[in-house]
Order: sequence, then structure tokens, then C-alpha cells
Amino acid sequence: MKKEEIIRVMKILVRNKLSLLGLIIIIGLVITALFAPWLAPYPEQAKGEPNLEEKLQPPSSKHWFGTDYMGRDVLSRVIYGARISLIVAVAVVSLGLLIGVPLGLLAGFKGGAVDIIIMRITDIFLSFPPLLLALLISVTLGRGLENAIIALAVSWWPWYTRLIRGMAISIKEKPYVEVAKSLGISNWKIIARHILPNAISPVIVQGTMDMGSAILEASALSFLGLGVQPPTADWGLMVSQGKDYLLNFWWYPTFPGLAIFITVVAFNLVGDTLREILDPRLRRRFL
Amino acid sequence: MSSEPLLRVENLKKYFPIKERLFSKKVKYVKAVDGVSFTLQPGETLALVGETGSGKTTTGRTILRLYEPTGGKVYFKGQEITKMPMRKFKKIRMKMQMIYQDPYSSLNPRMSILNIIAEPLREMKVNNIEERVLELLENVGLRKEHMYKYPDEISGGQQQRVAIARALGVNPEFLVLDEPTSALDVSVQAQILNLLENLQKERNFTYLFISHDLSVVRYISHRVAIMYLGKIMEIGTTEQIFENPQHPYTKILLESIPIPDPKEKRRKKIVLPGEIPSPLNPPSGCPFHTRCPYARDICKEKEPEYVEVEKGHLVKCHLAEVIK
Amino acid sequence: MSVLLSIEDLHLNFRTFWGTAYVLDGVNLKINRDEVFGLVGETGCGKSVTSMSILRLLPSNAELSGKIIFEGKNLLELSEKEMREIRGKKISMIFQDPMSSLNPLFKIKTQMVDIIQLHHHIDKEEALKKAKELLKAVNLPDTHRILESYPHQLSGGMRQRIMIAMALSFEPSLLIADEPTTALDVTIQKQILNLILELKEKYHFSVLLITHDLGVVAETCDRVGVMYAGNIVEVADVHELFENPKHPYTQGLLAAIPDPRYKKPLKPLRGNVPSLLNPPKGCRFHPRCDYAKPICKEKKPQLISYSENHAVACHLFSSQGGDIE
Repeated sequence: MKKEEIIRVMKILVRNKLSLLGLIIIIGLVITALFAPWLAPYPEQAKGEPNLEEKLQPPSSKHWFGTDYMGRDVLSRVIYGARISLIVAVAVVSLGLLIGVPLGLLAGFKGGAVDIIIMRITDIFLSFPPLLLALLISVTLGRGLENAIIALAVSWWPWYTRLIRGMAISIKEKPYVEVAKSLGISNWKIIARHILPNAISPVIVQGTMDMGSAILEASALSFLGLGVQPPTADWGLMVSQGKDYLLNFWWYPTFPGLAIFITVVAFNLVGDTLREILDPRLRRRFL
Repeated sequence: MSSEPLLRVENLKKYFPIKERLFSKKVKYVKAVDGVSFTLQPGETLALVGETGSGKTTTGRTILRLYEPTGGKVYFKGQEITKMPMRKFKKIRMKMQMIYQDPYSSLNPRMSILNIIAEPLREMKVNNIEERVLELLENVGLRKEHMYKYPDEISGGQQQRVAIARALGVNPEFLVLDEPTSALDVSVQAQILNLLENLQKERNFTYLFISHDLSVVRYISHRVAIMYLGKIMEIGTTEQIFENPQHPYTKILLESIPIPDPKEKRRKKIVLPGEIPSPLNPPSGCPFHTRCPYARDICKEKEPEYVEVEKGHLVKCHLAEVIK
Repeated sequence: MSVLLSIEDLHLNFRTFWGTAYVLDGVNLKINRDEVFGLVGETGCGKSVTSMSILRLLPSNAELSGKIIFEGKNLLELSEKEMREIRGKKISMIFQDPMSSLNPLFKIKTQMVDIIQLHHHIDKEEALKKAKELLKAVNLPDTHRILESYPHQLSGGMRQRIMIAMALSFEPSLLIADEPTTALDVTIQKQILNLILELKEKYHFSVLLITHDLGVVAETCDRVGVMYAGNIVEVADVHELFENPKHPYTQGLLAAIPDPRYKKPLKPLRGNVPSLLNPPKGCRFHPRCDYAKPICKEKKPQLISYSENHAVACHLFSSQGGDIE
């Protein structure tokens, strides 16, 4: 990246103050996840060690976010939960992209029977409500974080396939693709060099926003008892366990819930601005 | 010019099927190109001129098999290419390149100028790619500093130069120039026209120059074909067409060009009434009869044959027959 | 001849993402009553924004200063409400792409009646009658079919005629035509230009014709202003301009265009149009000018009368009338 482009991105971010905030939140989240053992006041409790003497304490100087039904420090568990959430976000979206993008490129570029087959498969997947599909797969595969990630990715990829197929169809009609064909460039190289780089921007934007949704859906799975299993600290799981205590011990489900909310919003804010940064009319060299 | 023509087009046809209504089974055809024939000698420029919907661009694209022809034959250096298997045609296709109206859309916006020009060279296993790219850039009047730029960082004229440099890289013999200057400003248009003309002199390129701008056509082409509704109405040398136009359509087209000289203002000119009919429902007989000021009964009924009014000057008009 | 519109020292800047673009750099021009004034120039020379400035239809990041005197009033000092009275009623505009100025979802009838009723306080019946009259005036005699059509069912030439009809509905004193025929075929271009000239004779309005095509200028205009990078570099009677161009840019343009009557060698202008974010100092044309002198790099030349109906902004003519050697 050239210096002037970094300046350009900075300018866009400064102008869109909200997305700058989103970016700061995400960076903060990553730092939190990386340095959780040092940041959390009670790392052992975050990993699951009970502390029954102090159960369901309200927020105080000792426990900023209060404690849960086993007396564990909610702040520590929220900090550790960032790890799970980020892993889920990155894993689900990248897995979805890994399956969805090649299929979409193939369908869009080849057209004909290949296109029809791939698109009918995506139709089948898309005809289920995504959470229901993830739920079904999760039930089939069994509990656990890995299975939850796979379940979500499987319900996720068709969106990317559709998105990139549409882009591929319009880009393959562009004169520069026509020229590449006439110059004897192979189809694979045309897809890799001409179609993919020009088709990927909206998918990246979508992917960024989806990281938020992936966290949300993984939380939903945890909430329903299918994702991460106790005593691992996970936001969704904490909300699920805390929901029964909401009326009397509001802090228990509220803080992890807020964490989910803020993270989802942050990813969406950044995604919106990414659209502007990646806009081909402004500059097309971030990839 | 009795040598083997570089390109021979015989009765070329391209029909596009369209459905009249969403669920109707009846398929109609848009006869975009309907029986076009001409030859091109090496080193020659033939201009295909016509209004929107005349089929000039479709003709160019069908010759390159960007559209598969519905009928007719195209010979490139004596070899029939329309029925050739794609794999075999690919090699010949390298010798036939196209330059587009909108230069920006013909360059991948995410590739540097260097990579754009180098891509086909790498494919051909050329050594010292950067040197070769620099040489090609200099051939089209660009410099080393342009090599690392991206298409959106250079002007439209420079983009068109890059597109030409890329085509030069594969040593083509035949170029289809599809309105190569109509998206450019007048001062830049002249630069590109001169460049194309010089390259032709140096390398004996053959051009099929597709344009609606008769002033440019007069400047660059050796021969001109006037198209109307998918058919060539008149074809001849540039002098024959501009100095001695025979077809009423050609005459009116020539009179419609705005001339950059206010002294011409006072001359009373014929204004062509109406607009080009839909190629979906072309008129019977001579396709031009609905707008022709000289139309007679026969024009509505019978399609005229080509009449050779002079050597190499063909006109598709009943009146020309009468004159002869 | 009385002056209808006079633009004095018009400056226009756009604050953009990349910095300030100095789009108009002190434009001066006068349009007389009953004349066709052509504004020629290449992409980005400022010819279209000049017309948008007249109507004050500029985006919010524009900074406009100077004077635009129209029928004795400075348009830049009018309130938005007063300006709405001017737009459409006194000054009408037609654009290159008529499709973009017509709403694709409504029949021509609805759109024309709406526009007519907007200013004339008449009922629908009368508005419809007026619409039919206007269509006949622009040589669309099949009024019933046209009125019942949607924009996409009509050809480009017909749509441009409808735009002209709508522009005429208030008998404006100035018609601004921004590249009205650029998207049309030559035979249709001829029809439209002839129509504008005919209507001008009939309704006595002035035309500001904005175009890049010197052929169109030669055939339709009475006087011409040549624009380059936000400046008017030369203004003259059309015959004078083509026979006796003074500014090196005008000369360059004329040498660069092919003539359909014969093959002449083309002499392209070297270089490219400068960026308006960082325009050259002094005369903005100097980097491309073959006659540039040291002063051209420092001082901006003023538009100075060369002869009775010919003014030029070039240091080569600043002190006395002398030819370029």
C-alpha cells in the first residue's frame, strides 16, 4: 500500500466517525482476546473454577460486572468470551468464503449446466431459515464449538456463492475479460486474475458484516445448549444461563449481552465503510 | 490489389432470437447482420459506418466470433474460420485483436499497466518482460513512468494507448477498431488517430474501423461501407463514397455531418425524416424505403441487388440500376 | 442588441475529498437577446457547470462567487423561492440524455401535464390541450400516441423533442441546451438542431448551446465562447472564430479535428487537460502552448477585446492586436 492510500483510508475513517469507533472496538476486542489472561482479574474463574462464596454479587469494585451463579467474575468471563467469539466469527466467515467463493465464481463464469446445478444446491440451503438449518446440522453433528462452527458455515456459504456469482456474471461480460480470452489466457487464470479481484469487494464487505451475525448466531446456538459447552466462557452461553436471573440479578445476562450487541454493531459499522474504501471508482488497490 | 485478401467475409448473418412476450413460444429474430460481404486487403482500412442499430458493431464482433454467426463464412488469410473448432481458432484469434470504444472498460482496473501489457507476453514465454513492455509503451507514445500506474490514474487517451500497446504485444495482423476515439476529447482523438495510422504504416496492419463519425472515417479509412439495418447499402473507396455517393442514404448521411466551417451554414441541406426502423420489423423490399425521399413502388416490394457503378463501388439501390 | 444574460467574474470551487477543485476561474460572458451562443470545450473545461451555476443547481460542496445578471437581476442574490420562478419559467434546460430527465414510471401525458400545471394555473383539460400544442410545435404530430407512451417506448430523438416541448411550456427567454445531440445519430442530430433553430425564430428566445463538437457550433451558433480549464479563452462571432482564431488553444482545437469534406493532416494538441485540483499557475494553457512566454507561467491573461466582436485571453495579444508569429 502506498502512503497516499493509507492517508486516503484514514481520511475516510475520520470522516465516518462511527466506523472509526467500530474499528477501535474491533481492535480492542482482538487485543482483549489475545491478552485475556493478563487482562482478566480472575483468569481461573473465567476458565470455570467455581467461587461459591461470592455467587450472584452485584457489580462492585472487586467484581466490576458482578458475579454469576457460581460466584465467577462476569468481567473475566466476558473477556475470555471474546476469544471464543472472535474464533467463531473468523472461522465461520472464512469457512463460508472458502466454500462459497469458488463455487460462485465457477457458476458465474461457466454458466450453463454447472451454474444451474450449483445454484439449485444453494437454493435448497437458502430455503431453510439459516438458524434452523444450523440447528439441524448442529443436532446431527453433536454439541461443541467445532461442530457449531461447521454448522454455521454450512448454512452460510450459499449467500457468498450467490453474491459472487452475480458479480462474476457481470464481470465476465467486460471487455477486459473478452480481451484476455482473445489473448489466449486460460480460463483459470482469467478467473483468478480478472474475475476474482474485481468481484471480491462486496463479498469482503458482506463477510465483515457477517462476522457480527456469526457471533450472534453462535451465541444463539450456545443459548440453546448446542454450541460451546460449560464451563467455557461464551457470551451466548452466559446470556442463556443468566436469562433466568435477569429480574433479580440483572448484571449476569446483561454484560455478556451488551458485549454481543456492541460487537455486532461494530462489525456492521466497519463493513459499511469498507464498502466505500473498496469502491472501485475511488481506489481499487487494496487487494 | 489483386493479392490474396487478408479477410474475406461472405454473406455473414447474425440473428438474435428474442421472445415477443414473456411466456410466448413464438420466437422472433433480430436480424442484426443480414448478409454482409466484403474483403479486406493487407494494410487496408475499411470503415463500417452506420447509425445506432445498423449492425456495424455486431458485424465486427461476429467476425471475431465473439458472437457465433448464424450464417455465412469468414476467411482469414484464406482459411475458413467460422466453422473451425474453438481450440484451433484460438491460435488464429491472437492475430485478430479488438480495440474498444471505452478504453477504461477494456483494462482490468485492479492490474497495473505493466501487468496488463505483460499478461499475454508471459503466456508467450517472452524473455525480459519489463524491457518488452517498455518498448511497447514507447511504441504507443507512453513512458516508463506509466508502467506502474493503474488504469484510473491515467487519462482516457492514455488508457486507449495502453489497450493498443497490449494488442501490439501479440503481433496481430488484423484489428477491429470499435469506435476507438468516440469516448475521447477532440484534441486527444487526433493523437490516437495519428497513432493508429502510423502503426498501420510501420506494421502493415489491416483495420476494420467501426464508426458513426464520418469526419473521422474520411480521415482514416481507405474504403468505406455504409450500413443500414444489418445490410451494406453502399461500399467503395473513400473518394467514391464521399465525392460520388450513389445511395440516397449515403447522400443524406453525408449532408447531416456538421461541418466545422460556418460558411457551410447557408447551404440548404436535406434533412432525413423519421428514424431508423426497428430491426425486429424491418421494412419489406429495400430497408431504407420508409425514409427515402426518392422511394418508388418497386422499393417497397423488391429488395435491390448490388450494382457496380464503378470498379469497386457497389450500391444496393433500385435507382442506381436505373441510372446504369 | 440588448444583453439578456451577463456573467461577471464567476468563480466556482468544489470542496472535494482530494482538496479544492478550482472549476471556474473568473468566467465572463454575455448572451444577447435572440442569439445562439455556443460554449465549446473539452471534458472538464467547466462548460456544463457554468450552465448549472446559472440555474444555481450545484451540489452542496460548491462555492460560487461573482455575478450572474439575468434580465437586470443578479441570480446569485435571489432567494431559493425567487430562483424557482426563474428556473423553467424564464430559463429552461435540456440535457444530453433525455431519458434521465424523464421519469420512466409515468406516461408522457402525466409528466407534461404536471409540468404545465406547475406554473400555469389551469385545469387538466387545458393543460392537456397545451401539451398537444407543444408536441405539434416540436414536430411530433402523432400527439395521442406520444402522450399515452412511456419514455422507454420512444426513441432518443423523440424523447429529446419532448424535453424541448416541456422546456418551451413557459416561453422562456433563455434555453440552455447541454450537449443536446451528443447521444443521437447524425441524421437525428440534424433534425433536433434544426428544430431548436426554428423554435428560436418562432418564440424569440436565446440559446446557450453547450457542446464539444465544433461542427455543431459552426452550423448553429451566432457567437462562440471557447472554454479551457475553467476560463473563457476566446469569444467571437462564429465566422470570425473559425476564420481568424487567435488563442493558441482555439487554433489547436481547429487543427485537431478532421474535416468531412477532405482529408487534411491532423495536428493533435500535445499533453492532457490539467487537473483542476492543482491547475497550472498563470495561464492555465501554458504547459500545452507552443508559444508560451515567461509571463504566461506567472500572470493570468485577462479577456481583452481584439476587435469589435472578438475577445481573447492571451498574453500574446494583451498589449496590442498582433498575430502569433
